Amino acid sequence: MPDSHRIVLPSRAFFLSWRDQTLPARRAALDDAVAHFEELEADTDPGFRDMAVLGVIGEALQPLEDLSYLGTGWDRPYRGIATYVRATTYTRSTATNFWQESPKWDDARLDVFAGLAGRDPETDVIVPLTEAFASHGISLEPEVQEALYAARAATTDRLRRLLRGLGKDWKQFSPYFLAYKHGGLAINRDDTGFVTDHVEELRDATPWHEPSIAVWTRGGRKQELQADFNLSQAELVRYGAGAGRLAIDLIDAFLDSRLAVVETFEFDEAGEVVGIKPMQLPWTTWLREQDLDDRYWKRLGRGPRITWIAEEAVIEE
Amino acid sequence: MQLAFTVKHHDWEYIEQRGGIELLTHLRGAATRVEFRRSSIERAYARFATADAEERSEAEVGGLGLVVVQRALLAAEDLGGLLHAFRGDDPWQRLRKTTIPDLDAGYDWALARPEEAFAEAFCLADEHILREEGLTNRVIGPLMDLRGREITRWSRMLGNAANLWHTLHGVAKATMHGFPVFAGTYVFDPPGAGEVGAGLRPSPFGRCAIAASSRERDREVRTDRLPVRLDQQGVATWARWGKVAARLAGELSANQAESRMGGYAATIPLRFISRLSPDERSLVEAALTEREDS
Repeated sequence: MPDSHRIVLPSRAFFLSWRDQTLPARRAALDDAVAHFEELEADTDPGFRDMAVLGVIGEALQPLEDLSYLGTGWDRPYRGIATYVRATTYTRSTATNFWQESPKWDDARLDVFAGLAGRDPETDVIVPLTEAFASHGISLEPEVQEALYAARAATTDRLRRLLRGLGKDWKQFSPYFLAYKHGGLAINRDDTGFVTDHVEELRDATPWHEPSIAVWTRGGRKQELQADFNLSQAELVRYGAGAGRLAIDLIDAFLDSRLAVVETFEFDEAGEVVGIKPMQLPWTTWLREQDLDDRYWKRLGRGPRITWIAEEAVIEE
Repeated sequence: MQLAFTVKHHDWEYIEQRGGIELLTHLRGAATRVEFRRSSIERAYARFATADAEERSEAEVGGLGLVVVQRALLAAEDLGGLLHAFRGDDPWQRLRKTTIPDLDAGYDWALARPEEAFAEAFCLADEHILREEGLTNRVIGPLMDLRGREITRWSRMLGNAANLWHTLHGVAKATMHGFPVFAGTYVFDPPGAGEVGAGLRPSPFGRCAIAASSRERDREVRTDRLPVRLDQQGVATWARWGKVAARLAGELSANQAESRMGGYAATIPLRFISRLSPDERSLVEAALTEREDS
């Protein structure tokens, strides 16, 4: 039984805070940013409009960064202390490293991310939950096992695909995200314009090109500025917000996969464990209806239900 | 594709000496940047206030308060970045390479050496400069009165912005890098949060949250816990100070931009000119007209 004071209670508070405080805040902030952009009048100053676009990107990329910290926390936990602590450790490279590497993770690491496997705290070896069941004497009917394996395979497939897509979004939007957070570095359209590379002198007939957004990059980057000429502002907002909402949905599933465990404990007011409730493992929380065969959905539903049975009392003669 | 500059100026060498054209265009674009930052803070506060009035869960309302904190601190960072930029050479590079220690130092500098900060960052003229411009005592007196009033105003605004930055930049950083923030209700209401809440007491003002910031040091992991007020009055203060920081960043930028466009290093803002006596006001206005005509 893990230490209540150091591990169980802090982890419980961490996940419940995420579920009830942070996720609603991220949703509200992103919805507000999109509404702010969509409410702009046609004659709104272009500079304000640019900041509104950056505002959407800013709120959309935050959940991608959040997910990177959660994913990193469970992929590389500190040994000997609660797993969530790694997710509270800032480094400059956490988000970038996660989004570069996670799409290439093997199945075992994705299982851990999905909550379908855990790391042995002593050896750091990844143990699938299905094996953990067996080692604790929980036997599963063959049909149930087959359904669990099918759901697990569908989950890693889906996650790998989604993480790859969000990784590309992170790379594409990062310069705008940083420009928004650190100085509001949108390029001033009143004083500038984009022309093709061969233009050496501006004339009346020189054609100008309007980006959907253009920013000065943070110092140290090879490129002094970053601009998008492929999408309209509305398209960029829609695309960026979509990435943010997907990240929020993945965080929701991440939390769901962990909360089942922490919420299985009953505590007294002093924080001592006084009982264990039945638990339903949200085995299919990452999946949509079309990701799994109907027969497996019928077998699994949301996931296997675990009921704890107290040992029989030993009667001394 | 390349970026072309369309702003017109009579002396580009002067602009290069004063930090370059990129910096000039960025400073000239401050007004809409400021307006947006203020608007986004107001919108976040409105959502928080509505949720509070509707008595939604403490955690949910607190989360919306943290959105206010995050947006307010973006404005405080804008100001801190400008202060850092103008206390050294190559302000454009400095502005785009800020770190938290740079921002801390920018605020500390402005609070510890306000005369220097108002001169360097806000382009505020002093008596010596006014005399060098050939102004008479009759005009210098009222101008120094205006200067004093502006310093009082800016000092108050700077104090609020600096308070916001120093109080909350750790919490804001947490909200922007993984959001490791525990809702107060899960820390202080039974069964509690174990070691996360050890030694902490609930905020006397009500709703709060605790940001956790961990660092690896040798073989140890150390976690700092940063409390933040999220009651109605607290969040209203964060919002107000964030908007003040945005406005001050805008005024600094406008002064810097105007000084470059006009070719002068320093000026005295005329915001409080209506507080002068009619005679003093006429003197100041006449001196301005003479300067514009020359």
